Formats: sequence, C-alpha cells, structure tokens
Amino acid sequence: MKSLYGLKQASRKWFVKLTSILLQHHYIQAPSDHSLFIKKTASSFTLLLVYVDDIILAGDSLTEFDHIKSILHNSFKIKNLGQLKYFMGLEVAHSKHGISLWQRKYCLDLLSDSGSINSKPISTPSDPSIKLYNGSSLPYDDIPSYRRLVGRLLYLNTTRPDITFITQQLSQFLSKPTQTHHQAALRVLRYLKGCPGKGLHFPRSSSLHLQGFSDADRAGCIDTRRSISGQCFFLGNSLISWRTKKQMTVSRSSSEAEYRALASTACELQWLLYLLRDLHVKCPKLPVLFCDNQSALHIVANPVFHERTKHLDIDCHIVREKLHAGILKLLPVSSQERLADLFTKPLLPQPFGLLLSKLGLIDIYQPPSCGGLLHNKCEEDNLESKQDSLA
Amino acid sequence: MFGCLCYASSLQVHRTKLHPRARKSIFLGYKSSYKGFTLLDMHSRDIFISRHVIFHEHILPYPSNPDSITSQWEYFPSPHTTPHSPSSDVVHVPPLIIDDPPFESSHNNNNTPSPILPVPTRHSTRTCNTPAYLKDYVCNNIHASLYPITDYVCHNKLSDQHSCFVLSLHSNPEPKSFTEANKFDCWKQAMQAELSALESTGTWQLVDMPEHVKPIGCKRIDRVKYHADGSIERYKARLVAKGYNQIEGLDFFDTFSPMAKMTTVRLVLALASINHWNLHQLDVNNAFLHGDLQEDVYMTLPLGVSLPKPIRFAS
Repeated sequence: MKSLYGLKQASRKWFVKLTSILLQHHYIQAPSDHSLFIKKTASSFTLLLVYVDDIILAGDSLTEFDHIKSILHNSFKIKNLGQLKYFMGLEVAHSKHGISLWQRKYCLDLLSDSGSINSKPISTPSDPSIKLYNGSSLPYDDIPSYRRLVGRLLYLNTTRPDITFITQQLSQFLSKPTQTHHQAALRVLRYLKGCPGKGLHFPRSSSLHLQGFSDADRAGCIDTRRSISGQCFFLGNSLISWRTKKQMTVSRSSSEAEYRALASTACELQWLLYLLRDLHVKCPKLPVLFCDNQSALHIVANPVFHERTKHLDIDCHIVREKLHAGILKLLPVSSQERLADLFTKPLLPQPFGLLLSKLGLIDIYQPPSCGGLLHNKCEEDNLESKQDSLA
Repeated sequence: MFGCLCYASSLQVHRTKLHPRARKSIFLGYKSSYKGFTLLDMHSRDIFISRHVIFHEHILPYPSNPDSITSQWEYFPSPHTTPHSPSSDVVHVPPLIIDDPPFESSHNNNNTPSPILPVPTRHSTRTCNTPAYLKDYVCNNIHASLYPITDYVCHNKLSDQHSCFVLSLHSNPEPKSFTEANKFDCWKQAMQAELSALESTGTWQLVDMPEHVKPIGCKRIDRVKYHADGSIERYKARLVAKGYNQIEGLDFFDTFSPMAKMTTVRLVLALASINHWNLHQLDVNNAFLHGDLQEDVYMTLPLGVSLPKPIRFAS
C-alpha cells in the first residue's frame, strides 16, 4: 500500500524512500544537513539538495547528472525541468557575472493580497523613532490577517536581509497585535513596494573566504529587557546567512550581550564550516568573525573581567574554545563597516542604504533611472556594483 | 420647454467672488415687450426675467425631487408622476449640479439648514475622459495610482524567453472547488487520470467500513503546470487526504522529515556560481505516492467516484 497526499506521515515516508535509493547509488547523506546528498568520485562532484519533492542538482559533470536522473526516473518518474529557474518561490537567474536569487513574484503577490500594491514607497522598512512593545496602542482587530502577513514576511526573508530585523520585531506581537504594530507592518509593505525585485547576487568572481559579522542591541526588547543579537555571513562576496534573534536571557552589560551574540555567531560559523567540509570545499583563509565591541573581544581572548562575566553560562565560552582551537579569527570592526547593525536596530535612510549596499543585493527589475535616458550609465554602475559589492 | 431646468446668470455688478454665478431656475415662458425669459427661482421662489440663461431641456427638476420640495410647492401641478422612488431620483440629479460647485454649496447653505433632509453623499458619475493631447502617452497617474507598480518593476534586463517565463507565473486560472472544477472538461479529465493512476498503483483497497472507525475525508487540488518557456503543460488534479483528522498513535506515528535549510540552498547556489557548476532542477511526479505506508488509514470516497464504501490504505 502506498501513501497519499495530505496524510501527516506522507512527507516522511517519501523522504525515507528517496534516501534509501540515493544511498544505494553511493550518495552520502551530509551530516550537517540531512537533505543534502553528495557523491564525489575522482572525476566528478555531484550534490543533490532535496526540498520535499523538488530537487536541486549541482555539480561539474553532466554525465553524472544524466546517470542520477535516469536512476531516479526508473524509480519514480521524474520530470527534468532543465536549468534551475524557479524553486520553492525563489526565482533564479544566471548570467555571466553570477547567479541571482529573488522572490519578485512572491513579493508582488504579497503586496496585492494585502492591498498595498498602490501604496507610496518609502526608503526604510522600519521607523527608528518608534519602538515596538506590547500594548502600545489600541488592539488590532483582525489578528489572523496580521499573523498571515507576518508569516509571509518571514518567508520573504529567504532573499531579503533588509526586512529581517523588522520581521523579527513584528513577530514578537503575534498574540496581541496593536494598531501600532499593524502600522509598522504596513510600512514594511510600503518599503517592499519600492523594490519588489531586490534579491541576492552570488558573483562568479567571489573568493571562498568565510566572514561573519556579529552585533547585539542590549535590552532591545522593552517588555523583557532581553537583548537582540544579529549576525550575517559572507562567502567571499556572497551573502549566504543572516539572522536576528532575541536572546534567551537578560544581559547585565552590553559586553555580555555582545558576547552572547558572538557565541551564537560562532555556532553558526561552526555549522557553516561543517557544511563546507561536507561539500569538500576548502577555505583558503581562516574564517573571520567581526565584532564591534572591544570588551567582548577581550573576554574572548583572555579570562578577564571576572566581576562582569562570572555569571555567564559555560556554553557562552564556546567562542573562546573555538578561538583557541584555531578554527576562527576575531577582529574588531570599524563603525563604518558594522554590517550586523542592519539586523539589530532600525536605521535612518542614509546609514540603511549605505549598509545595504555592502550586502551585495541587486535589483535587476529596477527601472532605468530618468526613463532610460541614462541607460548606459546605469548598466556600467550596475556592473561595478556587482564587482565590488563588498570590499 | 415649460418647467425645464435652467441657470440664469447673475449680474456681475452685484456679485462678489463668493457669490453664486447663476440662479437655479425653472423656465416659465415669455413676456411680451421684454427681450428675456420669465423664470422662477427654485430657491427664493421669485419670478424674474433674465436674458442670460442656459437651458437643460431634458431635465425637469420639479417631478424629480418631490420629496424635498413637496411641502413648499403643493399648489404646483405635477406634470409627470414618475414610477421611480424619490431617493433614486435624488441620486440622478446631482451630476448636473456638480458642474457648478460654488452654486451647489450656496444652495446647501441657504435652503437646507434643517438637518431633517439627509443629503446623500455625492459621488460624481461623470465619465472621466483623458485629455486628447495625452492619448499618445502612457499615463498611469490619471486613472489609477500615483505610484503604479510599473515604476518599480521592469523586465528590460531579462532575456525574452526568461521574461516570458516570469510573466507566465502570474496567470493561474485554477478552480477552487469541486463544483467549480467539474464545469470544465480539462479538469474532469485531469481528475480521471489522477484516480486511475491511484488505482493502478494500488494506493487503496475498497473495504466495508468497520464500525468503530471514523474515516478521514479527502478533497481535490487543481493546478496548472507550465513548461519552462511558460506555455501550459497540462492541467493537474491532485487528490489529497484531510490529514488533519488523523490521530497520533492510531494512524500515524513519526512525521518529521528533514527539509533543505535556506542557508544550505544559498550556500550551494553561491558555490555553484563560484565553481561554475551546472545547476539543474528535478521534479518528482507524484512524490508522496511513492512512500510505503505501514499504518491503516480509512478514508471516504472522493467526490466523483460512485462506490459507497470507505477506502482503506494499508494492511
């Protein structure tokens, strides 16, 4: 007997079946991500990334592609969709400069479903003068629509690091949203209206150097006085991972908040290193973590500041351990280059634009300025920004 | 025409900027030895003579709003009795008045001070025409939004084929329910194909329902599938079980299934870009139908299948 769509165990049964077939054909399930299957031979390298019934196939050998496709076709009947273009709502475009990834359709659908398709665009997603907290104004009546909106914004985070912070803020109030929170959510939509086609760009000329940025906003959550940590990671010039998260405990000092943020960044870095190892990628240089707080760096380097750090959990000292194990390097970062600021605080338009430009996002759908009169110039600018998106 | 609406221009000498430019009147007739028309002012009830008059002969204001003025004009014989309800007529009149806003406002101020008469919210029913000199241009701002989406999305940089594909993502005429889908042959055939596929793979057995079992329901999902170039590949119907009625420990146990993390997807794409890897995409047909089921699950028959028995999946 076979499974059927809609049953709760259907996806599990399917994945078990697929795994067994792939393992039979000498694919190895990566321990760092169980949906990743890798086959490396002397001449070829192939990887399979499974998202339920969508499969991405990447590698350098087309003969191995044909081989695995025929195996899968004999077992399941597959449809070969050719080059990767549209995967789980992500639109993928290939050019000679690199691969771009965006969610233009998802974003436009979100705008039209929430009735914001004709709203006036705005330059930043969040207002620095408004701090969101519980019960800030009258309760908002249509709670399901608020939750739906935040849920869709969360998925949009797949390619939009610029709205990550405000989405984290909005999702704190899912149980009791107020008018203020709804207004803030509408502001995000107005921001998205201005650039629905913005997305990630992975340049071909990028190196394999892994860099991470970490930051914390002490007591950023007014209701619980917990801090907010933010982090982002670059592989060469490509932004691959980012996150905003409210910390689990209250911090007594800003260096403690930064230290906790650094600890979770180090964990993410460790996972990325495992993933890269599974993918047989060798980093040319030691991975670097950038932190803007000097005293947090001192705590990592030496067991100083006993008075301030005696209550820190043991697991927070993971950074020190990783540093001594020699798998990462810690560096201070100048105030201009604090990329993780984007993920911890609402910014004014000017610094927001500056930091965003360093993330290497592109908007291929952006109409040419001045009605196309400056078309050639735009093209050149675009190329330049693609090449040196992150110094 | 007797009784028709007309506007008599007020004399320039006596009027200031905010005074009405015209008096709303009704045409009564001609007077000998005068070069003007005899008019009845609708508001002040004066009878006067004016030479500067604009006529609207198709409008007879008197019978059109009897409600508002009947009390004042009882003696006036009604030439027509229209079958319309007064309220609908009141709505019909405003378009003309709208041509002269200052006049209308003065009318409201002078003659309807009592709050008894409800003034309906006026919406212009005038058809809005684009000026002729703009017909050669694309003017989004006139009819729609000040910020049309075309200002923010543009497909110029995409190749023809890719933009065709991208645009096709937006058109999805997919039915929402069984009754809606059952009207079209393409969807009916799709459902038949799905049902026969399920039967041929031995997904279920038809059994009599045991007494203690409450079967779970099922429904259909319809989707249009596209080729990579954007053309329609086929109409696809999918039968799904309403798994939310399942009970843990009875007809399902573990459900966790790993999914690709978004960071992994991005990392793989970034590596593919750097290493110039080939990137292909596969789609497994009927993926979930391949899983082997160990538990017994009872389901009612889908709509469109006539055997009155529940379906059991596995034994």
